[in-house]
Amino acid sequence: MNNIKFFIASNCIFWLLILGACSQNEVKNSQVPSVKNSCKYSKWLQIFELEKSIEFKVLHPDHPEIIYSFSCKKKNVNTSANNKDNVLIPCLNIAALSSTHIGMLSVLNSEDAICAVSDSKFVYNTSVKQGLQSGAILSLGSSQEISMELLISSGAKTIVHSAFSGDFPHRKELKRMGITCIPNFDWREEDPLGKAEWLLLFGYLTGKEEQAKKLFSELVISYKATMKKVKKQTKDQLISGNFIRDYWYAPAGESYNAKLFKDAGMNYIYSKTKGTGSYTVSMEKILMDTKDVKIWINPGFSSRAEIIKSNAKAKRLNCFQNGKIYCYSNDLNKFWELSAVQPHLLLADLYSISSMPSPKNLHFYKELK
Amino acid sequence: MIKKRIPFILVIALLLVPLSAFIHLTTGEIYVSLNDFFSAIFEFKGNNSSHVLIREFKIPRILIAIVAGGGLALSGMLMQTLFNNPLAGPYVLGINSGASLLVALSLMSGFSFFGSDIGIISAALIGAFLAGILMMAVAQRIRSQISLLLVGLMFGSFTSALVSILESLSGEGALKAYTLWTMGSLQQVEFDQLPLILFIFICGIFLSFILIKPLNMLVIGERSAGLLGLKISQVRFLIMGITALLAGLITAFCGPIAFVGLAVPNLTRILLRTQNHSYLILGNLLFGSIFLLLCDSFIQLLSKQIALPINAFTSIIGAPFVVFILMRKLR
Repeated sequence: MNNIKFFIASNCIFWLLILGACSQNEVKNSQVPSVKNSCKYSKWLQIFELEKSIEFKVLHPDHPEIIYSFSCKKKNVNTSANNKDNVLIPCLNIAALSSTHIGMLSVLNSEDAICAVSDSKFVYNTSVKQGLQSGAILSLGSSQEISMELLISSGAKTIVHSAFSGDFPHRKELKRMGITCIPNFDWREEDPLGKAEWLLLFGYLTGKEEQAKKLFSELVISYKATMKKVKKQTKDQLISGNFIRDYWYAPAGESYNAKLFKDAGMNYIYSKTKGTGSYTVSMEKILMDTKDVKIWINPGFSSRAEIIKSNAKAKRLNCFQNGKIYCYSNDLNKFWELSAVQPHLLLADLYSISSMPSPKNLHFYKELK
Repeated sequence: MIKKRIPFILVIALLLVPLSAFIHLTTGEIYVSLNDFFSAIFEFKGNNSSHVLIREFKIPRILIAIVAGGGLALSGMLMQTLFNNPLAGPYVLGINSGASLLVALSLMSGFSFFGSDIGIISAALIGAFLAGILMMAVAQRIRSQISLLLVGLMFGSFTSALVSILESLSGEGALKAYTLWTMGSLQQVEFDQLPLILFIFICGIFLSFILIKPLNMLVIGERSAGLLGLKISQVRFLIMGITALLAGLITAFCGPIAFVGLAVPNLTRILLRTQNHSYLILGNLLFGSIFLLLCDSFIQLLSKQIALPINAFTSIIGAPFVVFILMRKLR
């Protein structure tokens, strides 16, 4: 008898778990409003300014059928039940789970809206660091293993997360508690301006949409002004990336980095390759492909010694022996936090590197010695 | 007939080694002619990219494939004879796990010496030797061959758990270095490191040949061999030392490479059908080299489509083979 009870109970638990898991993957799809999308560059974010609310649509880069819809309403407007997640704005309790989110909030001077962050050792912003020290902002641990207890106790009302592995854990349960999870796919944008456009999302969330729009239009002007300076592609060939064990991983020709190199007038050797992610090259091919390369960008280390320590074969490359190596390691945390929202400065750095023999006053980059 | 068959197979295998090396040379993404190859060896110019490619990339990769394949197969054969168990091998019995644990400790300890090449090699050798001694002590108490393998697997799980704890405590850089090391690679060896590697490898082969007679006696069982006057404890220590030397050397330079030490000795026994270790040692060296050269050639062929680590590839081929051996044994 006990065995039968155990069998039934374990089956019930099993099916509950299965059903629970399925409900986490619920597809959110709804009609696009007839109003014009405010985002011009972003591929995965759409913003519609309706009469009484702001509608966000976050498109899933890998699953076109999944569209996350959010409705932002002013706190004094009554919210009606619909199939969208409702966010009351301005939201003063945001859990910003990526460095780029902190960067976007910081350029809007909205650090005080942050109540929790992950990977606190990578924080660059002074106010957020102070908040972490004083306990006003909670550190939730690694972004891969967020402490849910701490997250709830931080009082967060909105969680902005990078959605590397799909939905935020316990999204449904958090929604029931009045906490909205907004996936952020800025890291999948292929256009630097598209990535920076996610600033508008944070602008609306914090009630500083006008400031965000102004900042964004200024950075677009600055970015395009640098692009105009580029008269023609430089002759010096450029390589980007580094070895990971036996293979070289370079940005593919349609990726975010390749677009930056193109806009800066750089002669990137894999600019013609297909794909928006990485382009994998064997050790021997990279040796032959880079025999005339003079500039090596983004090796991911802050000194030549570190590059060699990671892979001794790197010293055989012509660009290591006779070229210049630059990395975004002037201040790594600054790069992770601000480069997404300051693509104009990133582009200015790259333009200086490609057009000047000894570029000075770089914002993110430095030459490796 | 038998006397002629085995030397014939070994001569064929001996000819297959340079042929496999040639296949390896030609399957790379960049084509290399024999002219270029010899000119890179005899008229090397540091500013010639083709010469650098051949000398610094292709030759070390081919030579380390020969050393690693032959060395792992030989150490596997030694283990199988010592434990009188066809399923014994440096990977299954935890010798690689011991080396991996000490390498993880050295990489994540934060001391710069342990992070250096010599530190990693020493750690791998010591780890392999300690694991071998431990397994030998266990083997004295456990007679069942399957139980011994289970203990080996448990030891592997135990070291993996310790490594996981170390990973959670270590910094990002050390963690990355260790994770990459575990993938295994035949491409990290530098041309300048080859003399040291070849010296240790040849020492291992030389010592194995010295042990031919004791190894042949061990085939009839430790007790019977002891009755015939074999100093069992000394032989055990020597076999374990050679195994640790070879497996530790290869693990240190190439990372863990699974199943070669298990699959190739069994394959050699099936092909040669002999218990004479003078033939088995030669056979394992040759077949191990051919096996790893061909595996790596295949990886080179696939490199445009998929970036495969060598450890994953040898596991894909080796694991079904182990199941085959196990089923054959249990039948």
